[in-house]
Amino acid sequence: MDLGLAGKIALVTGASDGIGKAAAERFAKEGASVAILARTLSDLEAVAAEISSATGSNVIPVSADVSDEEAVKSAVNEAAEKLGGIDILVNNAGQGNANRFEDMTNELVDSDFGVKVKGAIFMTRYALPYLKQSDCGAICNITTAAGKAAPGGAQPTSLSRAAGISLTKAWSKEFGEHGIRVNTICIGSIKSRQNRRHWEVAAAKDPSYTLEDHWASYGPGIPLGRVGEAEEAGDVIAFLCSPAASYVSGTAVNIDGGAAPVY
Amino acid sequence: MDFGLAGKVAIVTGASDGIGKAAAYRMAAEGASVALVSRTASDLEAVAAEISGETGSTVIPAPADVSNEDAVKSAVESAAEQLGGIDILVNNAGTSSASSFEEMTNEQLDIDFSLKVKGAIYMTRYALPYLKQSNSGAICNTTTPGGKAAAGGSQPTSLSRAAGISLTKAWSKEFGEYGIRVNTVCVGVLKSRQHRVRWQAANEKDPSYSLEDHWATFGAGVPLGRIGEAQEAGDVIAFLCSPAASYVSGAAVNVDGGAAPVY
Repeated sequence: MDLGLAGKIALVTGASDGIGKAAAERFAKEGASVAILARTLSDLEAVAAEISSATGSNVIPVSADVSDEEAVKSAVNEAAEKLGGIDILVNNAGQGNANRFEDMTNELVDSDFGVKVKGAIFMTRYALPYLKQSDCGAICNITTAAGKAAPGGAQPTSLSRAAGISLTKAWSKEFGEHGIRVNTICIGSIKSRQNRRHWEVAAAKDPSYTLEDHWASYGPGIPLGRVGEAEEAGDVIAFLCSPAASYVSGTAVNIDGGAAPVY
Repeated sequence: MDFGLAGKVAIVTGASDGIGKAAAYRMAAEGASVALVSRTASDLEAVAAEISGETGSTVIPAPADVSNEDAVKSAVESAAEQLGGIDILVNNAGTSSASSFEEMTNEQLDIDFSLKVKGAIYMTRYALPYLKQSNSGAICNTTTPGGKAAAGGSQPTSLSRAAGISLTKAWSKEFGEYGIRVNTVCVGVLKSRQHRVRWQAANEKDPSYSLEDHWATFGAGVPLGRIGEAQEAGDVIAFLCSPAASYVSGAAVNVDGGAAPVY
């Protein structure tokens, strides 16, 4: 199906690897120009060149720490100037911080909230004027199913994700009058960069523990019996942000192989 | 994006008009063979010829009242025989039945539950053996956001829809081991046959009340400010049932322009 993304402009955070990179790749494959954002410019330059040469679309790097409002403002304006506006914003930056209440420090709460919640707020604040000028504005926030149904030992990620889902619904109500749709995908166990890092830590202790062992360890407990590929999340993000999903707004779509206890 | 639907076999209930027809159309346009289920064979034959003519895909009528288990069994088995199996089931049959508690009759409750809940159970019961043999089995149940957050005066539809959402989550847990994904779309106000029928009733009383007037009245409470097109739901159904959404299961996706109070 033609998703109607040709000629659109997307800005994706946390885009140097994993889900963000996969979403950027799909947008570019469908003919959109993409600004990819993360902290490290050298990583971004390599990814931009890779996606651009694979797809023929215009892909540019813009570096910023999303928890730094001034840096976000500059990066968003730079991306919009270079690409001619913003139609789509994907707030994907963030990583898991899973502790029990008694192990959770104030510093961890602040840093987690700073990246995942304030980061999305800052990005949206500065992208919004451009999204309002689009005739097909769309935002997708990346959260997790733990934001809907928190297990024990998943703090502060689970509360930051609950906040991200809440922002999604509020923004869908407020931005609808500008034709801007706002959705979130609640991802489960995906072959993301952060899950690969979990393996790196484990493999450092036990060199016989392979990456394949690590991915297989996620299978039990997931109805589909396997960890997901980053592309499987990236494709859903691209669909939800595209004109093909033109009446979908304010929804929170699980991409978790059926693992969550709630819809 | 290639949804990967070419060569797949889908069976869609409530397929003679509206959302069901739109889903059937999109899947046929993507190269799937489609069996159309609803009560009236003559309607289905016309729709099958129309979709087949436009898309070049095989589209066959499989008439049945979904609340009649024997009729469902025959229709499902006949469709699977003619098309060579079933990869995708869309349980879409159902009409709205919205009353206050004090107005709701037992008969109304029984009819509604039979059509929307038992109908989906019967279809799934007889399609399941075929879905298990597929390498990309998927079920999509059509429900409404009223099943998540019931409005007053929307019974028994709201409770039947809550049941449909519940079945979706339970089936996603049970059928995952066969690689079958199960999702629901929660549709808001779309240009469906049932709303066109309501306009006809209003138009008989007041001939100056145009269909455009009728659609405009629905837009007022929707964040996107307009009623949805049936195709906007049909496209989401086709996406969710396709291999492009291969890690999405147990999700309940609002297709309502942002109208629902909950995600």
